[in-house]
Amino acid sequence: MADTKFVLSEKEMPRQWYNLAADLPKPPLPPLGPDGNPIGPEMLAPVFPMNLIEQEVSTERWIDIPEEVMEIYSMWRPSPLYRAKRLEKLLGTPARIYFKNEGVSPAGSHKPNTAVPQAWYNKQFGIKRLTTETGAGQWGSALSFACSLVGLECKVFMVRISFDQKPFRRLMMETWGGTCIPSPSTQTQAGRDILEKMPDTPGSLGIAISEAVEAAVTDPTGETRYSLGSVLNHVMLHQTIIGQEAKKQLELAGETGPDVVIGCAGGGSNFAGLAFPFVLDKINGKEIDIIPVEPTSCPTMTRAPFAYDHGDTAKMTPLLPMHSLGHNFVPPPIHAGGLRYHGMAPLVSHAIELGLLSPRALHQLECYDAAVKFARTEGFISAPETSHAIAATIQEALKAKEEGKEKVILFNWSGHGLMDLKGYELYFENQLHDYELPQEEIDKSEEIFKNYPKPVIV
Amino acid sequence: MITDNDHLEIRCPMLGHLLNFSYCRSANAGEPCRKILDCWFERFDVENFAKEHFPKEALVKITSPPKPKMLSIVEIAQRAIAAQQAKSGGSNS
Repeated sequence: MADTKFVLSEKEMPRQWYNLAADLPKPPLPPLGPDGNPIGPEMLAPVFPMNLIEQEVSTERWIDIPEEVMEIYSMWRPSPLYRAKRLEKLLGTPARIYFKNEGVSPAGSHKPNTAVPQAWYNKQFGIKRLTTETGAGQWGSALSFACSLVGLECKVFMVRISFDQKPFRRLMMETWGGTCIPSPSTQTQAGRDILEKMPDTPGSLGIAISEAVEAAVTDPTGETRYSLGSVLNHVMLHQTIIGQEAKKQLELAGETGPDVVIGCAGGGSNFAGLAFPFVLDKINGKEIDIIPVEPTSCPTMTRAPFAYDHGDTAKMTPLLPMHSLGHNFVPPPIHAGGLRYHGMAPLVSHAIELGLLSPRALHQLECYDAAVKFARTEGFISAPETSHAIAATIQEALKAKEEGKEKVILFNWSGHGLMDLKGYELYFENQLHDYELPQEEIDKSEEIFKNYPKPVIV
Repeated sequence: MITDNDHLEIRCPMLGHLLNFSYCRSANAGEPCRKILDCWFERFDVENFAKEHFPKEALVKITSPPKPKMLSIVEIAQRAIAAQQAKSGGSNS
């Protein structure tokens, strides 16, 4: 019987994180501050501990994982690599499909991979508590878990509408010792200002971030810092243990490497975690298709980018307006450090700009169909975001079937969907629908995109 | 009417759960979420809806590029520190 799981021992766990910034053919530009100059460490110091700021700006290729972080990682890492044999059989594909199961962490997703080191580095810096914001609670619960192990207090500002709709995630945070506060709250000036104007507001992520940052930087003891679970460079860095493990496990499986690497990309961290070590291989000449996947609804990578910088960071940049509210509505210029996709990690954006990644957008029905196929063959019920990676994997496996090629496809199974079954219910009740992009909109997008990496709208 | 689409549901990519359009059109202290056009363009003519119902300032906000995350964090921090200092009489001690 061929193996289904490829498991590394704890001793084989990678001992360093990989920093893609060291190897990009063209270095990413630094983030710019309110004055248009690069943001310096002193501006970040009230928000993050200096050891994480150093990682944020580091161009070192390898960064050692501290021994105590390794010990905590070993509670669920190395995470298993699975061969999806039953899915392959269902599809009748000659492709070999592998997935990295990040749902085995206590919080059920990849998020603890960065929550734990963030908590640890803060503790080393003398910090006593962390603040953060959360929506449905995936990040808030991961950070609460990490803080409980490291010995920090954790205060999570949870958007009020999510606080009301997602009580189980709130209870998870509280079980791990986190303090979960509906935002806006009366604990911060930002919250009080909003509540004064709108006492019944359902809150927003923007308000919750304002509260979490304020709570950190105004703590008179100086013993509080803020923590973010996506987008930033050090978050991408911590996640790269996923891809490094996967490389070793593919070797165990007798593979020379993947032909296709796939991850869903919201803020970019689970995608980056799996993909960045393989982007290095691609930079070094290997032929690999590396595909971040997102929904056609709410896309960040596959519609036109907002802004492009010609390289002169001292100047205001020209814009490629993304929306079609008529040419009377030309957005005001901003400082931009290179091509930026809204909400996407700068390193992922930059890798797209360099042609190293091939972003793809998929419709929700195809994603739910893929998630159900996956559940009925491989058993695991996927988070809605993760279903995008599965759908793209199925597309690639069927393409390999058409071409008669024995491709190796690797994707990141970033988390389970056991706390998020409402979408499945709507899918089974035929209440979800796809909406076709009007041709006029596609034409417009293609015109804007003609000089950029080609978007794929499937 | 501005409430015509309020019943429509979508999975919010930022919060990670289902929401009605009524939230999206008023998410930011009564103003629309900055992703409202991206999220709803497939479902109905949200651009015309926006032009019909939102003030020009709100339209400019939702069509403007968002700030890089690091910049927005720094700005929030600087605002909060300045407000705290103003409250305590301008002293940083």
